[in-house]
Amino acid sequence: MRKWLVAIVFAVMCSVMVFIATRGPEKMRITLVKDAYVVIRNEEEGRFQVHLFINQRHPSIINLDYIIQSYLENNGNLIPIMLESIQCVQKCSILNATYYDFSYQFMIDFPQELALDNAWLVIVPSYQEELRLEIGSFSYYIAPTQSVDFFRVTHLKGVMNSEENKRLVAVLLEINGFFPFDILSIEALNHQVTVGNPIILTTSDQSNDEFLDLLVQHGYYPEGEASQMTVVDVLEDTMLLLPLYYTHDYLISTLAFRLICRDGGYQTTSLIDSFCFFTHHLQQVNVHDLVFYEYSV
Amino acid sequence: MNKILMCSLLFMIFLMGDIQIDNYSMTGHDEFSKLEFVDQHCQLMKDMDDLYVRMRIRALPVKFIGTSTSIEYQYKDATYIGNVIFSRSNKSRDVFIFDYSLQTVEFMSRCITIEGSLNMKAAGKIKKVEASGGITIEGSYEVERSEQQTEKSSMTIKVYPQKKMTLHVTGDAKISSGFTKKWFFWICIQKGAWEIVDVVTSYFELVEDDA
Repeated sequence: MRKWLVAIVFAVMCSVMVFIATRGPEKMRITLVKDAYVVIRNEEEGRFQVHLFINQRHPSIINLDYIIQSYLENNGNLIPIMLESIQCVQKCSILNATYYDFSYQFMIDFPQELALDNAWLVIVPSYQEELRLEIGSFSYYIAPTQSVDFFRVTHLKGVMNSEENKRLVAVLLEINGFFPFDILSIEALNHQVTVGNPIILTTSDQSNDEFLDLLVQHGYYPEGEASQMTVVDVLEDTMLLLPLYYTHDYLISTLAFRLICRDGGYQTTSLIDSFCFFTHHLQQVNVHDLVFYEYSV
Repeated sequence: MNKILMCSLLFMIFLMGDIQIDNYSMTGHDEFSKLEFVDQHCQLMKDMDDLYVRMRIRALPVKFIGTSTSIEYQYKDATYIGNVIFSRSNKSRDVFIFDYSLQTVEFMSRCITIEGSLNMKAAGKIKKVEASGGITIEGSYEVERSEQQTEKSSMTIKVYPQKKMTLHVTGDAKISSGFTKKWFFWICIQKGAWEIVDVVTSYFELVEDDA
């Protein structure tokens, strides 16, 4: 009886060992939330971060020494970027599987501005196939060199839509001109967003709903197209409501603006630096929209 | 006998913890200068009648060991005005420039206020409270803070002479509140009311004033 028992235990142990030995290596699964990335290069190089969700805590792809190069790809064009650091931010669960959120910080120093609608991040490791991940859109701007200030910003605030999924529909921009000048154009520094013709306000002391009513009165609807901008005369204190139009469904919470200003014969480009208009603490991402990339380790 | 009495006394002292008085707050939460339910009929814990709170706590069922909880509100919509994130004035003659990033500003994603002898581990959702797993015996007030993702949220602020730049935050939140008693061998060792504010959205506004 005892011999039988020993034989059964031995057989089970052998089966388990054979199963472990013959089991193939676990596939590395990577996913990410597509976003509208924006980099504004000032005097220093521009930096941006991409969050990759990986189903392993210590995959080799997080080791900087193993990564030969990385670049952005769009319609066959390659834009070199440099991977600076990788950091594990948090552990999370996606479709009942454990994933680790790794923040990849890249540096970009490109001589010309870029507007990539569909950018792919390519990471080339030394030991395995390259990773190709669709990250969303990518805008790259070179900030104007320091010039004479025409104005100072005295009030900056976002106007949000009234639906459940909050979205920035307009920006209240109040500026104080140092002398009378004209604004020839206002550009949002994210090529997914276009600024419509500014509405000149007499008071900025209005609620979000009042601003929304005002936008509707001026023929604004989110799916519409931005109308041609008329020249804005700036006197001492000027309040503008800038309607925003989107070309894609990305949630954009931070925006910078570039203004072309003219004083007589002198024309200059001014930058209103990136401002975070809102943050979502409970941002919901539909897992069915996620693309999972599989790589053998 | 004396040893048993001494142990019991030490146990009671341990349960009582430190006595402290929290700072006065308009909303019952230090992080918000204004907090309002969307539904006008709902009340913040600080506005609830003391007698009502006592009645609700008294009505909680007795247990052998564990906690009994009654939920008053669960994820009720609310709006808030937060405290000023920064305010910098410039009394000099030159323009003052500083880099501001939300990375360096920690702002709350969940705030908890406790009244009575209770305390609650901020980490869990209310469901954990219902399952009697989230209650711990600690101090009397706890706030969980979280650093936000920030790579998109930096800007350079210019403060012109004799001016002041202020960054305000307002937003939407979900409020949950309830009453809990903790039991040990049918003896109530802790009881109290609690209120949790989960911040959902934050809206930022930059304003210049005279210094």
